[in-house]
Amino acid sequence: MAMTTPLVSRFQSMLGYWRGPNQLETGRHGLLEMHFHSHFEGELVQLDAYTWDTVTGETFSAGTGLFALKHDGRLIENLYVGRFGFCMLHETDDEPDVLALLGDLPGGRTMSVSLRLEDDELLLTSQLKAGVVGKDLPRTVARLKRYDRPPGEGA
Amino acid sequence: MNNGIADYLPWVGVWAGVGDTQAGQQTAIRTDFVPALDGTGLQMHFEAWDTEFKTLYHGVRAVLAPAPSGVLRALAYSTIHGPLLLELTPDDEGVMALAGESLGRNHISVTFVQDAPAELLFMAFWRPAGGNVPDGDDPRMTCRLKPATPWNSPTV
Repeated sequence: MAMTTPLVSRFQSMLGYWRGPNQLETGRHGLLEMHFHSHFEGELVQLDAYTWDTVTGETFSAGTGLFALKHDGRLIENLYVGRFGFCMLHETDDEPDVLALLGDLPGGRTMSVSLRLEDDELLLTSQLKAGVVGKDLPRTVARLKRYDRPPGEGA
Repeated sequence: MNNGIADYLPWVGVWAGVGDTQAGQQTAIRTDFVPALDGTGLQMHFEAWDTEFKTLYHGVRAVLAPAPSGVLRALAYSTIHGPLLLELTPDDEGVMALAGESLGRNHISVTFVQDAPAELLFMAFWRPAGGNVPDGDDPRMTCRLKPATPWNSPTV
């Protein structure tokens, strides 16, 4: 169990595995699994995310984010998504129950991500914008739940 | 030459050794490499401790992955430097050379060299923004790492 740190306290209710249907900005549907885990006594929270086709099992999106706190107490996420590349997202103002981040992608695009925990459901949205006056592209939207498994013989 | 993820898959596993920190302290290092991102990336978890494993001198978690252009980079977090984006610089086969700048503009360089089939030479240094480029005599963290194999009970 990780120590409770200012960073971990922001993610306490999200740590662990989540799964749910996902629709990418491309329109493709799949099943998204997200895994939040902390390291270095709660100094770092890592998010691993995969979306796969529920018919073929093919992974068609994968990414990793490393969350840390800046000196001003706001979040910074060092993010990699296979189809976009690398970017640094910074926390932005939003509703108190929303974790919202924004950053620049290569090619003059920006990426915004938001996470909101609603009861037992984690809502993830992300959106790309092409340039300052560019047109918003469709969002990625996923509603995730902690997934169940029946107890095994070894437990 | 430009190295790919597949070039480093033989390193998957846990490596350990005793070396020296950049500040000159003796340090026990454990690092592991595991496939990530469904095999398209490589994750590294690095820890440098005092030799009694009571104080963590430096911890790094990193994922090496291809940008859409095909270039390999590593997103990382360092307990000393914070978030990092490191570039894989072209080098010889059996070498992973990563370099980049922290948000505080410190320059960081990390290199693993496969010296032998079961030995990785690890070298790393950082210097503040505008600092001199180290030559061979400047301090750096170094360690020879060996595969950390599970304990095997003696044959009865």
